[in-house]
Amino acid sequence: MKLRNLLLLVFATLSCEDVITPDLPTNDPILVVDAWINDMEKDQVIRLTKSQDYLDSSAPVPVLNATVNVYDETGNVFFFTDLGNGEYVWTPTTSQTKIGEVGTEFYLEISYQGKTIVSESQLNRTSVIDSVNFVRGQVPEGSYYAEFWSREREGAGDAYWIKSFINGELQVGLQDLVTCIDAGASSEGAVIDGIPFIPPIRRAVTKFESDNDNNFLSPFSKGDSLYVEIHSVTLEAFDFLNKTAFQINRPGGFSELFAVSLSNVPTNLYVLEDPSYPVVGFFCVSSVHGLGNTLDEEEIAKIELYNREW
Amino acid sequence: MNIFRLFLILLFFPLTIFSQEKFTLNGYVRDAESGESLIGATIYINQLSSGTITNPYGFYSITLDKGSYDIDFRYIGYESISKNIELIQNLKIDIELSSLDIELESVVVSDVAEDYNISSIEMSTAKLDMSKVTEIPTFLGENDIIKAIQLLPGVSSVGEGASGFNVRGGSVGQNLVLLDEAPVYNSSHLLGFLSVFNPDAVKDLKLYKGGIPSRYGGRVSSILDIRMKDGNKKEPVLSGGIGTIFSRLTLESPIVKDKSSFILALRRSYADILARPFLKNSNFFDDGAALNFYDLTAKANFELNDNNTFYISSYIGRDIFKFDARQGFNWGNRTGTLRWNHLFNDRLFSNFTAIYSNYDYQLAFGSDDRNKFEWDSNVETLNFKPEFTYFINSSNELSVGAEFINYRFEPANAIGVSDGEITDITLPEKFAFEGAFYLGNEQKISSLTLSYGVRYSVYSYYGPGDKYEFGSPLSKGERKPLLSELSVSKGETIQSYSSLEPRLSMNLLLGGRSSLKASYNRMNQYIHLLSNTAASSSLDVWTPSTNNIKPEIADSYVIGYFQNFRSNMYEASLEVYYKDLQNQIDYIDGADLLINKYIEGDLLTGIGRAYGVEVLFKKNRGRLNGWISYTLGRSELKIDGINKFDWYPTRYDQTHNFKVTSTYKVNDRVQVSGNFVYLTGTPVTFPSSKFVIQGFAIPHNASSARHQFRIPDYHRLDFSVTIDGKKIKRNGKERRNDSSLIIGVYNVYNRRNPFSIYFSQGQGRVTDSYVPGEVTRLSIIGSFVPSITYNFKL
Repeated sequence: MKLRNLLLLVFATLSCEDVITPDLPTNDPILVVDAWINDMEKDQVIRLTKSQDYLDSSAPVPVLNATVNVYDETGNVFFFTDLGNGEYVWTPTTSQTKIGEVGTEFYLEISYQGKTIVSESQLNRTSVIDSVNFVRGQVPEGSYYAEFWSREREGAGDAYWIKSFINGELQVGLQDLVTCIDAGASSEGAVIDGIPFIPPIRRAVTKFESDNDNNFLSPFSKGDSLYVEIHSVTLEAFDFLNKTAFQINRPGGFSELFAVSLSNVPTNLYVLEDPSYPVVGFFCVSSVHGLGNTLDEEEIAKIELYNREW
Repeated sequence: MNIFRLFLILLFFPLTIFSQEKFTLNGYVRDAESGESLIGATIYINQLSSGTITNPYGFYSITLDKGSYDIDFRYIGYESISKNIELIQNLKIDIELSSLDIELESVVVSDVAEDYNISSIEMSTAKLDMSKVTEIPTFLGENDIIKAIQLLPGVSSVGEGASGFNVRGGSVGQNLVLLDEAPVYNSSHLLGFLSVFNPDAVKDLKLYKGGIPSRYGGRVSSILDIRMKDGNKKEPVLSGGIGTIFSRLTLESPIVKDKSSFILALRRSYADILARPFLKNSNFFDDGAALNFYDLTAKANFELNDNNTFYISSYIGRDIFKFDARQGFNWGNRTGTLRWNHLFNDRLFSNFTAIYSNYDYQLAFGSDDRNKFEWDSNVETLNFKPEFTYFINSSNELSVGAEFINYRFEPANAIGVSDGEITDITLPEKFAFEGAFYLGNEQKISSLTLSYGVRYSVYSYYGPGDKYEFGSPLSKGERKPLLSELSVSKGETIQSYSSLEPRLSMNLLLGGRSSLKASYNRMNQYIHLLSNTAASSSLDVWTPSTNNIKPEIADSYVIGYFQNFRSNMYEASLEVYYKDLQNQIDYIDGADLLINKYIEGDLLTGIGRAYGVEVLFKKNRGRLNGWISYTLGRSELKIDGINKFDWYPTRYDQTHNFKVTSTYKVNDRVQVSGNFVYLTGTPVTFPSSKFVIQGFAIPHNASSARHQFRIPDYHRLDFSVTIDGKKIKRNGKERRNDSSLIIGVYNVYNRRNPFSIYFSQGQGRVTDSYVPGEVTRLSIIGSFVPSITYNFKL
């Protein structure tokens, strides 16, 4: 992108970065609950692991032999089976094809080493994607960009997490935590409601990456597929994701001038017996709508026919 | 109101005991070459071993018993003039002083005894001569007054590239920066690499870190008072320079010789022009991209007669970053000052000032009119200041005045257009009024000088606007829930505050060459710069005190010892300060400070303290001159919801701050200058562990401690050589034109001084067997930076 080009040009000659290995404080591993489930008709997974030293890059230690259940306000109980690798799974059945309907309140209950960890979340409505389009890119020449179209539902106070899959692979880069309130606000203090998602959101499914010589690569190549999902989240979960983005999205360089201090992300987990028992993580139940498209001959013909650009 | 009674007693006490016939001597002290008035020139009465100094308009007035006096008129870097005066009637004597030619022989220990630093009541102030500012080696060779004051004790910044400056552990937004009395809301160009003040147009600057006189108020940390040049009253002068970043051009000229003059100073960067060849393979600038900044400083003065002088001055500056014709951002200050100096009589000097100041920024993004985002924000002030100085006698100088400030804030005018559908997310404007009345007297009682005064400030946050009430969050440090939202009609007060701010200073002369000074002052700050990032950004929003945001209050105590050696060739001072701060602002984690109606719910408040010791050792004259400055300091906050409600250091806390700057004159054309800076690394928060949620590796700090570590210490050496053009032509005649070439190197030994250490996944992605996590040390300026500048004067 041009902005990056410009900043690179002006500042790259001055600033420099070194990866270092400082002495960091250590502490005992604590319980991590990764409980993001949704109303899709497929296996729902809750992961229990332990936290690890910051510079330890090995896989997280799984937490075994816990009991994980989810209840809803109507009395349904969903038993999550311990797979023995830290994953606890609920599989839909013919009578219960998905976890529930929009508007339902859900409760999480985990029993682990004599502690009961509880949380709650509401299954909120999501926004429906009308189309996922590829368009002609400007930089580099002959490149392709993409965006999704969805008219956000009227009524303020919805929150979303937009996930994208390129050729089936979930994008988990530093820029990939795309969230918004309603059609694109970053807090409840500004209302952007009931319109198509604003450009920074609907175009966030296009990632700009460059090669080693700082030449931009085409975000999409012929034959690539893009699948977009909009997950509804609670406002508390939005807050969690938003704060997580602040903490993990550190592109470095001059953006460090305007970085905020490192601080812990919130949790909505509560330990009944001992509120000071350390636990991190989040429980959220989402409603999901997804749609995909492939950059094939037909799509390229459409780009030319409709002269699609940003 | 006991304080007022005390004030009156102190004030009139000396008047009653003298009854001898008295006359007043007054006038202006000016530069002989340019006619510029000289601020802070000394008028020294030998028979009394005391005297007075000129005010910011170059005016002095002293009332003495009838008699014969030997009077010296002195100013640093100028030849003194001595006069014998028979004071048998009121006298007006205007003096023109000639600047000392930089002939080395005459700069040996001379009779220009300047002991202002020990004799004056002022403490915790820093005054820099502009000639000194131009000698200091700088980043990219651009002389910069904000960078220059950062070489003084008690002044620091959070790091290279950070805008603004920090004084005695205060935040950037706690400094009042005045340019010809107009507040300047953002003092930086190009992030914080350069300040907005064109040194060619600046006559004088003074930084008040403590002992702040009652005429100033409105910020809790410091006052930086910058005065523009009036313009040459004798002859037209065109001067300028070509530097690495800027080109400068300044025109000054008399309008009516010796009566009125103007100055017009322009700077423009040419980064975009220089960048063009590097971008020749792209069509970068073809579709309207731009990167530049400029500023225009202008002033004119008209001396109507001996008793009336008018000044009009203005500053317009802007930074422009455009990615293409439609997208980009820009920001800038605009100020205007209109002043009328009026002498009611020989002893009563008055100044009436009307001021306009505006800071705004604009952002625009989007490919076409159907898909765009436009946002601008501004703060605008209108200010009126009547001020009176009554020179009662040689021992008393009374100042009385008022200040009326009206603020208008536009936090965000913003529209988003998505696929042709417009959403207006404009936030309502906010209005506030700040008024102040002050009274101050400076009184000399033999070797003791006292300055005492009060400032009574009132503040009103008024409608139209919305009044928000917030409840308590579920857990401390979280966003406060909104309880109610009330629309308040035009002119109606939403919240008001008032405060009595005592100001006291004393100076006890100990023998001829040393003094002991002490001061106490209370300061109130009614408007706040909201910034939760490491460095303040151009998009930071100024916001008024409301029912939820209380005025910041500082009580500042200072005690200092000042001593001069070798006929004032060397100056030394030691000051100890302690500041007690109330209603300090910090932010909840994840605070949204931009386009947020409920921003007040994202703020946390608490108390602060800052304390330290400052040492300054200065050599004023000789081939080698300069100073050594050292500060041992601490700046902390204690806020419920952060760091378990325990004290934590601010992001700009620096334990040791050591700086040396010096200039050595090799011969009458060549001088070399150097700086050395050593600073303790600023605080940073380190995580102890990490955990994985939804494929993201999130850092975690088990202790929840804020700023518990520090980045490595900072040190840097800069160097420059100034070569002046030949003064004498080959035929032996003196050249009319001056020129100089400055070659400099910033960060000579190429140190990678860290600005921050941050934690990220880097290029890694979480997989089944791998959890990335790397620590990066960032240096904003990671190499030595050479520069070359050419200056001329025609």
